[in-house]
Amino acid sequence: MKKYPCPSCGAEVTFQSSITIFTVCAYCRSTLVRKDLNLETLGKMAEIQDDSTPFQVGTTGRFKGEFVLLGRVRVSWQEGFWDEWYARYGDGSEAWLSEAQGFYMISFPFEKPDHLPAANEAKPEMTVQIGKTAYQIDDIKQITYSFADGELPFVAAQGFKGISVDLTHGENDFASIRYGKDGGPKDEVEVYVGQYLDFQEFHFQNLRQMDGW
Amino acid sequence: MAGDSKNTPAVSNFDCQQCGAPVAIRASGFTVTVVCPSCGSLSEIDNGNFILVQRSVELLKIKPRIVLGTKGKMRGCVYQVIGFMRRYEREYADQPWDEYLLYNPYQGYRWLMEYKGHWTLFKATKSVPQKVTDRSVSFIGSTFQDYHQGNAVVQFVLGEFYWRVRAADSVRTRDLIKPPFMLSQEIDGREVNWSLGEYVEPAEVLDAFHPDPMPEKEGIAPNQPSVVKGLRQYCTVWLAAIVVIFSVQIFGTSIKPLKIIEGKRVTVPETGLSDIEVAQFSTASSSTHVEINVTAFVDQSWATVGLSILPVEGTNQTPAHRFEKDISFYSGYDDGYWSEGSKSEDFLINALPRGNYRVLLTVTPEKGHSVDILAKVKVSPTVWSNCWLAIFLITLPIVWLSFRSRVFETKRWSDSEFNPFAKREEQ
Repeated sequence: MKKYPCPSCGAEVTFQSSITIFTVCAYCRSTLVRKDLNLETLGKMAEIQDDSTPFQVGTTGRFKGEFVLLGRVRVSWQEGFWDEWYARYGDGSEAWLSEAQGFYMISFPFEKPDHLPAANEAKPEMTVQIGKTAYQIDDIKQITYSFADGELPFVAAQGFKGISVDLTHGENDFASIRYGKDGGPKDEVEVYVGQYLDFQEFHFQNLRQMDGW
Repeated sequence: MAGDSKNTPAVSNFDCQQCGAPVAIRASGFTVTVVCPSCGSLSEIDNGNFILVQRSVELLKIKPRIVLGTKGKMRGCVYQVIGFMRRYEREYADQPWDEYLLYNPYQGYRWLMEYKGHWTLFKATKSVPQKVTDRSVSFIGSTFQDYHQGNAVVQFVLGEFYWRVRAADSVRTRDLIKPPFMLSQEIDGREVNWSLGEYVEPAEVLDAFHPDPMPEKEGIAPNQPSVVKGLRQYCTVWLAAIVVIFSVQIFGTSIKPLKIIEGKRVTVPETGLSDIEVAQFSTASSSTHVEINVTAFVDQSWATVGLSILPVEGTNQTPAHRFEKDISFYSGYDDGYWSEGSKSEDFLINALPRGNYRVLLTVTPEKGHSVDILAKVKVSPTVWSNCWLAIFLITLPIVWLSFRSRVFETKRWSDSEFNPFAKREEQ
C-alpha cells in the first residue's frame, strides 16, 4: 500500500495495489495518475447522482479465493450502461466484476489468441476460439467510459471510446474482448474470460448500505 | 450487508411533466423508462434527464392488482414491485396477462407473471439453453418441451423499467415447460433474452404482495405442478413392496413343512384295476403345488400306472389331471449286485385350484404279476392367493394415480399447439 497527498486538496490518497496507476480522490473528486513517485492531476470526476450499485470500494467477495473491490469504471453505450469493478486477490492477481441490471459476472485477463476478428468484422453468433474454448459472440457495443471511482490499472479518463464484444459458451462461460479507439487490428485489444454467477454465490461482505433495504 | 460508508438514498423523485405529480424512481440509475402512476404519461431517462415520450390521453383505467411500491418476501428475498406491464398474445387482446417487475438492489430484477389466477416468478438468465430436438431444449440439467410460440404485445405499462418500453411494443416469444418450471425466450429483433420461471402458489403471492382483488385460479397453467403428486415415489415404494412380498412368500415356502397324506396300500391283481381311490387331499390356496409319489412294489417286472386327480365335490367327474407312467424294477447278481429302474415315480401338479381331491390309480401289471401299490401326496402349504391379492391392492393406487395424471396432463396441454396427446390421436 502506498500513500500520497492529493495534489489538489492535500487529502491522503492510497494505492492498495502496485499495479494501479489511476485513482479518484475520495474528497475532491480529482482524477489522479501515478507517475514515478508523484501524482498528477488530470481533471475532476463528477459524482453520479442516481447510483443503485450494491458495491463500494472495499467490498469483498469470493470466487476461487477472496477478492476486494478497489475501483470501478462505468461503461456507457447507446441504450444504457454497466459497471465494471476492478478486483484484486490476496496474491496480487486481478479480476473484473461486471454488474449489469442484476447480472453479475467475474472475468480474468486472458492471453490474446492469435486469430481474433477485428472489431469491424465481429458479428453476432460468430465463433471465436479463445484458449481451448469456442465462444459465440453475443453482442457488439460501442462504448465510452462515463464515470470512474477508486483505483484502476489504467487511466480511465472520461470519454474513452472503444468497442466491447461479449461472448458466451455453454451455460455460464463468459468472455469479453475490448477494442480500444477505432477498433482496428493494430489498436490495443484486451481479452477476458470468466463466468456468470448468482449474487449469493459470491458471498459478498461490506456491501453498500441502501436506505430501506 | 451493512457497509461503513454513507447511506445512499435508494429512491429519487421527479415531477411528472404532464400532471405535475411526484413520481418515485425506486431503481435509480437502472431505470430507463418510467410511467407516471397518476396520469400514465411515459418518460425516458437519459443521463439523469427526464424526457416525456408519450402523453396519455385517457385517464388510467387499468389498476394493477398489486400496488406499485409494495415490498414483500418471495423465495427468501425481499423485492419491491416497481413496474407493471399488461401484455397479450397478438389476435387475443381480450385475454391479456399481467407482469410485475420486482426489484432488489442486491439481487437484481425478477418478473412475477399472473394469468387466470396462476402466478410464475421469472428470472432472466444469461445461460443459453441448448437445443435437444426441434421441440425441446435442455437447461440446468432438465429437458423443456415447447408449449407455445407467438407474439406478445404490450397493452399497458405503469411504473419503471430498466429498458425502453412503449405500449404496442411487440416481441416474438417461445415458451417451454418442465413443470413447475417454464423457460421463456423473447426476441425483439436485436436481442434474444431467456428467462426461467417457477410456478408460485397464490397463497405465497398473497402473503408477499397482497394483491387486491386476488384472482381465482381458472383452468390449468402450462407450468402448474401436477395435482397428482408422488406417482414416481409411489412406484419406487411399489417395486420395493413387490420384492418384499415375493421374498416373504418364497422364504415362507422354504421353511414351512409340506403336508403329507399317506394313501392306503392296495394290492393289484394281475388282471389290473381301474380307477381305484388311494388317497384324498385338500388344497387351501387357489394355486397349490402338489407332488404325488407313487410306489409300485414291482420286482423283476413292470406296471403301467395311470394317475387321475378328481374333485370330490360336484358332478363334474372330469379328471383335473391325468398322467401315465411305466414303473419297472429289475435287479440281480452278475459280477455283483445290479439294479435297473425304480419302484417310485413322482407326479408333479402345479397350480391346482382350491378344493378337495381324490387320487385315482389305474394299474396294469405285467402279465402274470400282481403288484402292491402305495401313493403318498405332498401338498405345498403356501397360500399364494394372499400374495396375489396384496399385489393387486398395492397396484390399484398406481392405476388410479396414472389415470388422474393423464387427465391432468391432457388438460394442461389442451391449449398448446404442441399438444403431444392431440398428435397421438391424429396418428
